[in-house]
Order: sequence, then C-alpha cells, then structure tokens
Amino acid sequence: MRTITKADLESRYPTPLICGARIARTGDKYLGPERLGADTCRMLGEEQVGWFVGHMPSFERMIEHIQQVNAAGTGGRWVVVPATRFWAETAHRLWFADAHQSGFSSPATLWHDRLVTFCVPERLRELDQAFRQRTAGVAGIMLLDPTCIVHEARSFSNQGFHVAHDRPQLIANFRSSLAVGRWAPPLIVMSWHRAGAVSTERIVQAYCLEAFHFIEGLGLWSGLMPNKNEKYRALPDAPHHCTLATNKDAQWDIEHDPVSAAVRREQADVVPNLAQPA
Amino acid sequence: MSSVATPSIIDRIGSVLVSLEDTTVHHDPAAQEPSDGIFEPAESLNLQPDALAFVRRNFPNGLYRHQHSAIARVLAGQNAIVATRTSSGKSLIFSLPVLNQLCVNPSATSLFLYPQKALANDQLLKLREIAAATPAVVMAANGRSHFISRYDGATPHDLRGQIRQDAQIVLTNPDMLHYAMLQYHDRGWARFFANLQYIVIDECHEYRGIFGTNVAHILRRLRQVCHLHGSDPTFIATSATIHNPQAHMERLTGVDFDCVGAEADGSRQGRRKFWMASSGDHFYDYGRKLAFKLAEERLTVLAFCPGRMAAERMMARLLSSHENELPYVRVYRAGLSAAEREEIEHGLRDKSVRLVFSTSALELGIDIGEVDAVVCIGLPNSMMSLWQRAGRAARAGKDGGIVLIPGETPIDTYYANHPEELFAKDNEPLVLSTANRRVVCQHYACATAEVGGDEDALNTDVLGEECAGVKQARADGTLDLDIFYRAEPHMQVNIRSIGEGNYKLVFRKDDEVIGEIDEFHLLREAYRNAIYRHGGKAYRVKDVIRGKRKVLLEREYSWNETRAFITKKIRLKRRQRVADYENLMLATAAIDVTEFLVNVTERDRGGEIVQSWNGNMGMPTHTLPTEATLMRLRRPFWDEMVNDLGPQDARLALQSCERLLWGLFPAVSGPCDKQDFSSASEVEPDGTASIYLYDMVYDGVGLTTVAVERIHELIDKAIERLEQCGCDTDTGCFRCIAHPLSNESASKQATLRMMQRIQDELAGDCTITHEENEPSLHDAPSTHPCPACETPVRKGDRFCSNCGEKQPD
Repeated sequence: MRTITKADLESRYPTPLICGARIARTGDKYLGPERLGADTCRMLGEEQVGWFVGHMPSFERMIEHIQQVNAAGTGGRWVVVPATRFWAETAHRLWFADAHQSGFSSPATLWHDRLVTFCVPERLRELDQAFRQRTAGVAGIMLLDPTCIVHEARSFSNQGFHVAHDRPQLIANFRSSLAVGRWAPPLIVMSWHRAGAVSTERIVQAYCLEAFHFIEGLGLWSGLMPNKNEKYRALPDAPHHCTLATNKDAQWDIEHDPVSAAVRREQADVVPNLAQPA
Repeated sequence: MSSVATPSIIDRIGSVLVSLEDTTVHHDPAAQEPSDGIFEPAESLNLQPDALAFVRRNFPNGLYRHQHSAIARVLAGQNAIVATRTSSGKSLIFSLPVLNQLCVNPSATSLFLYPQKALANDQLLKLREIAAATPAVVMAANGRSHFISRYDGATPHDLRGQIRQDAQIVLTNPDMLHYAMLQYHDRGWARFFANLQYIVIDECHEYRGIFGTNVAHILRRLRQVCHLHGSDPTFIATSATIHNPQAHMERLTGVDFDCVGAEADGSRQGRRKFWMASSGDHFYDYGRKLAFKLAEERLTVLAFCPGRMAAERMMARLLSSHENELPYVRVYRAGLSAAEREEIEHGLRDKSVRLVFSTSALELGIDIGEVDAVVCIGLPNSMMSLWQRAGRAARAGKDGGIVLIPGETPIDTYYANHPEELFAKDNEPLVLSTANRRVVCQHYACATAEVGGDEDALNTDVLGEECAGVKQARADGTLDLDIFYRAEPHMQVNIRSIGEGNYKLVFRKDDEVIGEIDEFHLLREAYRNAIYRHGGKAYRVKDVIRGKRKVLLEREYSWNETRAFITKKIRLKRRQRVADYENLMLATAAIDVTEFLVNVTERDRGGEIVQSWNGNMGMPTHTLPTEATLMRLRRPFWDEMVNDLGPQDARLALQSCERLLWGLFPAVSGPCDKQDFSSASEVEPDGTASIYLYDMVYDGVGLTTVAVERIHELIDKAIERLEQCGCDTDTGCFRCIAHPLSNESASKQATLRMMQRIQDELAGDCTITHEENEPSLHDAPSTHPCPACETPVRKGDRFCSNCGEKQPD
C-alpha cells in the first residue's frame, strides 16, 4: 500500500517541535524521551498510534506550547481542536490577548495563524475541504481536551433522521481525510488528567487508533530546539515518580548529544526539570 | 398427465438461453428422464386405524417404496435415516409414525429438530393439517391449542410456559434444545422428556462442521437426559443430499442407524435438465438478465445468489430499471421477518411472485410450490448445495430446468472448463469431529450441570468416549478449565459458529436488538464505520463495545458500500505429519491465526472512494486456534524466487499461489463449503515462505489437513488453471490470480513460475516423519510481558495497552 514519502515527511517535520518524556500509562515507568520528528511521526502515523499527553498543568500551558510551535515557523501545519466551544473561546482569548486579530468571521471556533489552525470538531469538515484544495501538509492534530470528555461525546440521536452528533468520529474522519496511503497525521490528546486516571482504551477506540504513547505533560517541551548552551533546560527528563524501565534515555543522550547529557547529569539536582522559556 | 406442458418448460428455458446475446453454453447434457412412482400398500404396515385411514384417503396409490420401508423400520423401533431425492415425500416418513404413536398413546411426545426456523414453521403447518385429519389425534389434543407447537427464539415468552405444559409435539432447533430445553429439563420439561418417543432430525446434512460437532454433543446430552427421565426415543433422520448417511448419523447421535437410501427410492420425479452457461457480461448481470427474462416468459424462477448482499443488489438493479414497479420480484434471505418470508412463500405457491432472488436460505425443503427454473448465479459451494438447489425445480412430477452460471473465481472457472467433473462428483463427506477438545469440555460442563453438578453421575456410555476422556482427566486432576466452574455453562457455548460468543446488533433508536453476529463476521461485516445491511435497510456501525459485546448501529441513508481489509498473522504451534522434500516441507500443523483490521474504505455507487480509515479502528483482533496444512518453501527455494522475481513480485506470487490453492481446494477434497476453510501466506523472519490452508473452526475438524495427501493433484490443477486462463494480461483476472480485496497486482507468469517450481520440488524424494515433538502450546500462558514496560500483554494484541509499544510478531 502507498505511504508517505521521506521528502514529504521532512517537509512536515524539518525539525522536532515537540518533545516529551514517554512513560507507562500507570505512570510508574519512564520509557525515555520521544521527539515528534520525521521518523517518530512516520511510525505514529503508519501504525495509528497517538500521543496522550496527560497531567498538563493548565489550559494556559497547553496554549503556550502551541504558541511555541506556531512561533517556530517551520514544518507542516498543526490543527488544534479545542474540546468545546468554551475551550475554543478561551483559547482564542489567550491566543489574541496582546496580539493581532484574525480576520475570520467566526473567530472563536475556527481561525488560522502562522503554523496552526484552531477548529472545533463540528467545523473540521470545512477544514477538510479547504485543506484538500490547498494540499498543505498537516503535521498533526492536537486535541485540547482538559477534562478528557470528547471521547464520550458520542451521543446518538433517538430521533430517526437526525444526524448523530459524534465528535470522536468527526476527528477520526478528519484525520483519515488527511491520510497519505496508510500514513495519517498523528493525533495528540492533551489533558489535565493523568493517563492512568482515564479509560485510555476507550479513548483509543473512540479515535480509531491502535494505541497511545503516554507522555508526561509536566515535562512537555515545544518549539525550536534550543541552542547548545540552553539544551540542558529543554530536554525532557524522567518524571520524579517514575522508575527507569529501560536505559533508552541514556542511549538517546549518548547518541544525540553526549556533552549535554553529561552536563545534564551534573546539573540534575539544581536545574528545574520542567523549565520552559517564558 | 401433462405430456404437452412437460417438455415445454425445458424448451422455453432453452429458447430464452439462446435468445440472450453472447451466451456461451458450456454444458448441455440430455435431460434426466422422469420416473414413475413405485408404490406399496400401507395396509402391510402396523398402523392404527385412524392413521391408516388418513393414508388411504390422501395416498390412494399407497406409499412410495422407500416410505413404506422406512416407516416399517421406525415402527419396529429402529433408528432410521432416509436419504432419498428431494421431493420424495420424506416428511410423511416421520409424520406418520409420530401421529400413529399419538393414536396409541396420547401422552407420547416427539421432538422435531430443524436447522432453520423457517423450516420448522413450514412443517408445523403440515403437521397440524395431518393431525386435524386424524380423529384419534384430534381427540388426544382435546382442544389444546399448543398440542403441536414450535418452540424457538421467535416463540413469545408468555406462551412458552403453556407450550411446556401442553405440547406433545415440539418443533425446535438445536440452539433452543441446548439453551432452553436441556438446561431446564428437570423444571419445565420433565413430562416431555419422560414421554419422548421420537426424535426427528430433518435436513441432517446441515449438521456438519462446527455446528455438527456441537449438535452431536447436544444429541448425546439429550440421550442422557432421556435416560434420566426413563425414556429411550427412536431417531428418524432425513436428507436428500448426503454422503454415507448411515455413518454420518451414527457419528452425530452415537447410536446405530438403518439406512433407506437412494437405491430404495420409489418416488415420482419430473423431467429435469441442466445447463451451464455464461456470457461476456459479469455473471451477476447475466444471471439477473436471464432470471428476469425467464420470469417475463411467465415461468416461476428461483435465482440463487452468492450472498445476501448480491441478492439485494440484483433486486435494487432491477427495480431501478423498472421504476420500482415489479410486484412479482422478491428477495428471500436470512434476516427477513417471518411474515415477509411467509408472504414470499405463499406468493410462489399462488404464482403472484414469479422471480425470487434468494440466498441459500431457500435451499432446504421449504414448501414453495412448483418452481419451473432455478438459476444459480455463481456455482454453489458444495455438491449438497447444488443438488438441494436443483431439487427446488422438477418437483412432484413436473418438469424443470437448472441453469448454472459460473462465477469469476478459479474454482468456478475450473468447473466451467470441466463441467463433467462437477456432475460426476458425489456429495461431499460430512466433516464433524466429536473429539474437538474445546467443544467436548464445553458440553461436558453442560452435561454435568444437567445432572445436578455431580460429575460422577454423568453417563459416559451415552455421552461418548470423548467425555469419558475428559472425566478421567478431571479425576486425575490434569484438566481444570474455567468452563467447569461456570454457573450457566450453556450460555458459554456458541453452537453455530466459531468464537467465544456473539455480538448483539443494537439499533440505537430504542436499543432494539436486530440480530447477532459472531466474532469472525464482526471483523468482516460489522466493524466500526461499516455500512451494514440488514432486512433491506442500511445501518452505519457507530461503535463496537467489546465489554458488553454490542454493536451499535445508526440508520444510514446511502448507497455507499464499505469494505474491510484484514491482515492475518500465523503462529505455528506444532507440526504433526511432516513430509520433507529437498527444499520444501509439507506438514499438517496446529496454528493460531490472528486477524486484525488494517483499513476500511467506503465507496460510492460509482466505485469512487469517498472515505478511508486506516488502522484497526478499535476493533478487537480475532484469534483462531485451528488445524492446517502447511507448505513451507525453504531458504534456497525462496531465495531463488526472490532473486528471479524480486522480493515484491515473489511475495505477490506467493499470495497468488495461496489464493489459487485455496480456490481450487474444493476440487480435490470432499467438503467444499468455502466458509469452512481459509488460507494465508507469510514470508517468515528466517527467510522461508509459507502457505497455510486452515480450517475455519476452533481447533479444527480435519478439513484442510487432507491437502497434504492431495497436494500433487491440487498443484496440477492450479497450474492448469493458470495456463488455460483466457485473460490476456499478466496481472490476470479473478478467474486466476487477481484478488478482489487486494490493491496490488501479481504477475501470472511469476505465479506460474513459482507453481512449477513447487511442482518440480514435490516430484523429488520425500521423507515422512509422523510426529515432531515441538513443545505443546496448549498450556502456554495467554499473556507475555511487554518488552518495553513488562506489563502482561494478551496473546494476539499488537500493542501494549500500558505503554503503546508495538509487540514483536
């Protein structure tokens, strides 16, 4: 079966813009850092594996991460799906707090910025058509679902001809419409809840995925990779409550940047783990 | 006699065939000549006066020879199987002794088992008619409205108590016998079982494969229950199309049988003629046009379609080209309501319905009056099916014609080229294995529950040696399964199909259950986002809830079709008989087949893809432990293929070989019901390649393992099919290597090259080993630790649910 080309992937993910500490769902095991680069996104997209970023400290922090991605100005477009109109309004207010206004007529439910598009599930179909026409590469879909409720929003009508309101299906349909062969842009679900506190198996099924990689939200990092001097601040480390399941993180550091790894180990006691540029 | 009309039906069918453009007649044998009945007087039977009067009144010529012979044996208390042609009056053979017994003993009871509810309904009406015409039985009934009753899933709950109390004759199916009668034999059914005189098993060829295996154990349990209540009933079985009937019934029931076979058949038969024809059109289109034209000639036509979707589509096509105005055309298939079915059956009898597109649902002996022509769109899956379908025409001494239209599959094309082979074939031997350990354990648990939970009270003489083996293993403490501790083990048994249990199809409007589907078909027909057609309506599968085993449906108003792409992973557990060639290994094997959904596409009426979903969409994987024939191409052989053809073409050629072997397997083996077996191919991590033919039954029933002995013949036929296929492109056609569900095209030449190489290899020296002592995985743990997080992962799961890590194959 046809799948996405390397060139296409590299145009969508020229550099990883999001990085996190991968943990087990139960939260007691650290499985190493995971960066949303071309290789990882190929795997996630082809195997239909999503990211569940649980334990996010606040909705504001979610928006800050997206702003970092937007500010990077490189790679494919990220479609951000606020769970409800309330969260869409909140996102809109936070996003445009001290910046320019968008020119869209319905700003609270659908608006675009440099690298991101915000859209509520109900309007994804409009985007679907627009994106097909433009054929712009979509890097991924971020579902901002602080209270983790969208997968439950499958209320089917009891009134014969009324079209069912099925939000997870809208998201799954949108994602499948962006598929290139057997690859589809990865789905990232962000929530306040830790993965272990919600029924992730139901969520996986609701979004037509095969599985989730679980990411610790507190340690999520986004934006362009920092320069070498800053790197120690940015790389995600094992959450304090996790045991090391494998030595993947050590291998990763050694393979990618042994100097920083050494610095990080030295400064592990004094450098905040979750620092993010203000 | 209708000497003028008789030939005209066949001539009219022949002239319609000739008149259709582009028709190629592959086979046009002479018509089978009619036969007059051979009669014997009923007076020589030891019948009660009322029963004898009934026979004299309704059958003035006497009984057919085979009827007389069979009834005499039954009245003498012998178990009998009657295997004579369709429309040979078999119903009377079991009805008469039952009613005769009621004349003698009004408290005698009888149990009629039918594989389908529709058959039971048809028979119920006939039985009531006969009973009403027999004064002694009317007196015995004494106004009881449920004296003769159906007791199945469609019986209203408020009537069931009364039926248990009043009924002397109960018509039911094996499902109801298992779930509702045997389980509660000591509460509501004690009177019935204590007085049970006759057990009638109609259409007994239907009890084969996994269904037959389950029914065999149910019948043994029924005998145990009868022993408990002090009765010893006589079995009467019938079938028109059965191979070795006596042996089959003895395996099915565990008791000795007398057989009244085709040699004793004295029935009157009409003139019957076969044709095998096709045209340049797709066989669906040709079949539809032919059937419609025959109906326009005012002939009554039964068009058998390959499946219910095909039947619905043909009807829809006809309607769309006739402005929805065709009152005499109908679709008959499973899923229709009883009223709809009865309306069609009645319409066929009074000729207000002249064309019915049917699935195999109308194959069995439902009374639909006289059918002039049968059109088989696609060859039937088995010889039994062919003769059952043919038996719908030329009934009761009338003439009839049967037109076979081969489909676009390798096996149909093979028979289109060798029609004489098709007609020379005998009915297939029926496969059922009472030794299937999983099934034995389930029924052992049910039998234990039926004797009050005391395993020592089990009657292993009646239950058979397999149950005795389980009992011994239990006594030794070597067998300890969950099923033995279930409060209601009956509910854990799925007697019709593979899988642990069915999913309910729930229409969300008011949580109405519109049907059930097993795990195997769930993955193929009712996956998430599928458009599922049921009862002429389209539904969208909104969700599949594993825990509750529910499929949630929503009405869909669309002509779109969805198609699932499924991938299989094979896990070889054990090899039994191994034939070693130089570069090829052939073996019977125990395997696990894990199937999972990889993609779903939705297409509009024009065939354009409107939506496509990747991944398993939350659908559960399905793992089937079964038996197989394994053909493994060893390293030098496979390397040579890869070097010659390239890795991609070699893999595609392997898949094409697999498809051909699967498609042609029925031509070399007995049973050829295609839903009973399947195939898979894999390139193994060690650089070898394997083809598997496997049973579609839990733990297997020995169906495909015969391929080991017939492999030379099978390969020869496959090569012949490839060489003789008329398609002119290297990518082939559906008649040879093209796969309707594959996006990739294989090369016919590459496939032929691989087949010939296999043929050469099989011509070499061979060493046969009868047992390879690989470790048995029967007791292997059902989970393994995830390599990433060490959480236990269920066998067959592709990802760890705790960390999302993909599991190694």
